[in-house]
Amino acid sequence: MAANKNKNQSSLVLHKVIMVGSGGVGKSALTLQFMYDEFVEDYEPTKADSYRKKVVLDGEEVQIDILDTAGQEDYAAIRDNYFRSGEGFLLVFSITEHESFTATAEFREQILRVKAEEDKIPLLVVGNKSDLEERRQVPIEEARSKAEEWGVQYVETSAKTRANVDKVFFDLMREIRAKKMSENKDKNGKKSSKNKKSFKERCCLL
Amino acid sequence: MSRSRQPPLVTGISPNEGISWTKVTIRGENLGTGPTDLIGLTICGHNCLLTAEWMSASKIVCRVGQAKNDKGDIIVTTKSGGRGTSTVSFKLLKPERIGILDQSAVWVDEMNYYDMRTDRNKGIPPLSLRPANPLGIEIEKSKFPQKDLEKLFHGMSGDFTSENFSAAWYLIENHSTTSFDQLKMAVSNLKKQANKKNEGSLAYVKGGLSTFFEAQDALSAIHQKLEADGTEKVEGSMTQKLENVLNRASNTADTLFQEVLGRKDKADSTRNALNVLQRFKFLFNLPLNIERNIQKGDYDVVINDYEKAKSLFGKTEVQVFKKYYAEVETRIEDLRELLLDKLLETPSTLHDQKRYIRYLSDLHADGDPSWQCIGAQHKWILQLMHSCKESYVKDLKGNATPMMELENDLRPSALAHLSQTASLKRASSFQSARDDTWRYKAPHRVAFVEKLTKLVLSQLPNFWKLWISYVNGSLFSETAEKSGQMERSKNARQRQHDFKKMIQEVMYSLVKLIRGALLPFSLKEGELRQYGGWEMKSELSGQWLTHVIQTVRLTYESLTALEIPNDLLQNIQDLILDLRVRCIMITLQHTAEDIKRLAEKEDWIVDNEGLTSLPSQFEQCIVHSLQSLRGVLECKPGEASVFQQPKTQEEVCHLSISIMQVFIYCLEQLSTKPDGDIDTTHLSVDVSSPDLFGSIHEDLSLSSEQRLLIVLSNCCYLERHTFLNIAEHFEKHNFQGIEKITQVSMTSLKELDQRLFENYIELKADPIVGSLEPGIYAGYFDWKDCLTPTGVRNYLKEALVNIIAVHAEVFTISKELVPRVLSKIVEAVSEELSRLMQCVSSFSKNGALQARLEICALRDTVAVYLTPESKSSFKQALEALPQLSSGADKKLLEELLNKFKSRMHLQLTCFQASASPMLKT
Repeated sequence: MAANKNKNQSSLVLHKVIMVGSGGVGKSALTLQFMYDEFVEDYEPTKADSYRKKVVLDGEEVQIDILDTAGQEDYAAIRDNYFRSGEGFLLVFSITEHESFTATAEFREQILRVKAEEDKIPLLVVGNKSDLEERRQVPIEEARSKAEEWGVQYVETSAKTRANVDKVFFDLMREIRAKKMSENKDKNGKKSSKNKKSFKERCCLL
Repeated sequence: MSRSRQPPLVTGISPNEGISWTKVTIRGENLGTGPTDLIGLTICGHNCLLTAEWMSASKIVCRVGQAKNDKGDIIVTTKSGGRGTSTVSFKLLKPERIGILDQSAVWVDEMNYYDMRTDRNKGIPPLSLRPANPLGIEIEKSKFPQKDLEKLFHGMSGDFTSENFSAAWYLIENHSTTSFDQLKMAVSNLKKQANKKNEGSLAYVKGGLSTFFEAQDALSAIHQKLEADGTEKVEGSMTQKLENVLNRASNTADTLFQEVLGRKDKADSTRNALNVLQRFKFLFNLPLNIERNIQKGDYDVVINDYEKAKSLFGKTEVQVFKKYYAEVETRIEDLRELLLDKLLETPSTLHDQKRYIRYLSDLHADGDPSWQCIGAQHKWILQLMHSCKESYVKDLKGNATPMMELENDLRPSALAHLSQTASLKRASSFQSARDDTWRYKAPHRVAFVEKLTKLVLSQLPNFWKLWISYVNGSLFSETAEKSGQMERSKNARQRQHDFKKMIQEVMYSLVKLIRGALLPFSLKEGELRQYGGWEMKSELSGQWLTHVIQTVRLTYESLTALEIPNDLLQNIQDLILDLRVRCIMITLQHTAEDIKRLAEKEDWIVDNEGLTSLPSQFEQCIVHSLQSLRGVLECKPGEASVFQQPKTQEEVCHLSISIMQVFIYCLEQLSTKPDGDIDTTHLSVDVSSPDLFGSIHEDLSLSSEQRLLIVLSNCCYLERHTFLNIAEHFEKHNFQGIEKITQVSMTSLKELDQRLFENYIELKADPIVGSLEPGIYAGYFDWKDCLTPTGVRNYLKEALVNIIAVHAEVFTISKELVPRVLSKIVEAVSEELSRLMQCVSSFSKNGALQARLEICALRDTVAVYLTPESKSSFKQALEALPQLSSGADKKLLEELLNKFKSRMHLQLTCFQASASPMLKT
């Protein structure tokens, strides 16, 4: 049964999400909150953590693979490798730290550079720590206008209160799914018809 | 599936790659119900159960081991859920594979990175690094013969690394059957690769780093060679050019690598800092650790750490280390002070003191802490002793009014108790009956001495042992000893002397304090103020003194057991001796007082030997007091005899004599006391006890003569028995000057006896003698003119009856006294008779006969009690008479005498009957 399940799991659609953002903005907190419904208080800088679990996205069972990366500059050089493997990005900053917001532009640049061959990259700008409203340094309008400028969605979350945590992951997965579907269409413009045919043929045979 | 729960599922790993022994956090579902439920954990095929730490059902922390595979699953196995699966994997990095310019998510051990330059020869040329398949599509080797190709493309090559590369050849050779689409994709791939190269020269240089190194080395080698050949001057332009090129290349390289090198430098410095921190973690943590361990009391650990730090960093030149070492030094200095404080803190146990001293010597504390400790201990003991005294004095004063009354009440009764028979019982139970009541009853001073000695005994051994360990060096650890040896040996003599002084001072104080309490007169004015301060109310009884002596002796013994030299203990010896002498004096004085009081107890009950209980009581009293002194008199080892000093000897002798004399005085008092006096005292004392009532009645009937007799009889007994016994007792107890005591007391006793006897005789003989003359001449009797005698006349009979009465009186009291008294009386009577006879101017024949008859009658009757004196008196009386003229007269005389004897037979037998057994004795 386990083997069966395993097979099921591996055969499911996999969406690869990468957490990006400066150190200490709450990437890991968001991930752990999403994965395990737990809020980790103590801060321990991440190197690179992998998470993968099965979720139901709009009625369809899919797998989400989260790569939680290091925010610290020390690891800047190895980000390229990570970014290459990602399908969607959560670009996280902390609303209590303006620097982390400005850093998002650089991260975006890097993503775009690595993913140069792709025209549209699924990406969400996430303003975390929305529970710390009194320490806010990044006005919501500023963040929103920046996101608009980039043509992406802006969401404010709180890993502590779990506000919008599920939303950002699911919204991102939807974008990834949408992109994959459109790619398939583009790529297999011809093939798809072929495939459809063969599918039909098979049906007939059956 | 029989499992009650779902199998474990690992869904998260942090971090997802790392070298061996990286600490990872595993997250997931159903990871077990508890630490014991977790029975298996493998990462990349390596069992990590040993390092696994179960945190919750969704979290496990462990360390990755030397895994077999580079990348693999994390498999958790639990009892409840069985073998699990994982959705994530861990990538094990091989640290030695990482070059200086490779990027890594983890810290790489510095030791394992290698210089690419050193093994560049092993490296492959940069061009060969290119992918074997530049088009990035599947290679389908054609069967096209190589020879044909060579013919077709003459002078060309299919090898894309060659200069004569022909793309067509390559395509025919490798992709002859590839579709157009595929080839189109290959074109885009190629474009991408070309782009990549354009992306940055940095990446390109990185890729061919070793080539650049090689080139640089080659160029510099050429440069050197040219310089060596001296061609520089000849063809300066050429080398100049080369040099310029080289410099440019170098500069370009520098600029290219500036960033990388800067990062590397930063990384190196960080790494170095980390290394330093790690390597010298010990030192950096030391101040904190010292603090912590001091708080915990782990001084051993601190000392060890300090030693280590000292050997490692004591002579360091590094500023940081110096700073930290200085910090450590200040902490240690604090510790030294702390330890010293603790060491000097009192009270403390020997063990603790030794420990602290060892610590201090280990820490190389300045000075001589052990000696300081000894000093402090010494001061403390002295202080304790004084405060002990103060508290008792205060206690005494505070409770003065109630306690004094109580004691004043108690004291006499206690004394009375002691002097009675009950005291014997008390004495035997004296030591054992140390219950609370005893404690309350014990006078303050006794309790004080008890406490004081206990105090000294509890403290001094530690003190002494401390010194002993100080002397033999066992206080110091071996290492410290060597360094301390020099200094100590220098001071040793001085220290020895000082310590001796200290002990002496303690002993001195002890002795003075006890003296202050018990023998205040033996202290000088100033000393008394310091050591005394007791309110002297009454002397302690001998019993208590004995007890104190016992205490002090025990103390002495204990101190000797410590092997304290005897000369230091001489003070105590002296004290003991003084106390003993004092005790003897006091006891003897008390005995004298007791004996004085004995008189009141005379019950006048005479036993069959004519004695009252008085002599035996007297003897008992003395024996008892001697017995109570036995312990005191005994010489313990090292003690001198009490009687060593002639002064003491004299005093004791004097006191003993006074005891005797007191008793003798008592007897005299008793004998002369008027009737009423005795009776009232007796009544007042004893009327309550009914069993004594009978004796009181008898007492009332006692005449003073009888009492006199009783005392006399007692005197005799004393002379013959009691005094001898007492002398024996004295001798047994090693009293000196017994002869003198006996002699003096005997003399005074004899004097008393004589006086009393004479008194008595006078009392008895006078009436008899006085009645003789009137009796003889009663009825106008005349020796010259009288009738023929018909018998002995009444006056003589009367006198005889009187004598018999005396005899009876004496006999009832003491048979022994009978002959002595009667012979004396007879003497007196005979003397009077002879005087009377000699006074008669002339006798008629009948008168002479009458006189002769009466004289003979008297003489014969009292024949038993005749002494030479009375005999001669009778003879003189008879000689005064004219001789008998005729035989008829003689016959008549004989007849009349016989008649008298037979008539008076009954009366006269008392003389014979009583006399004969008396004489025998």
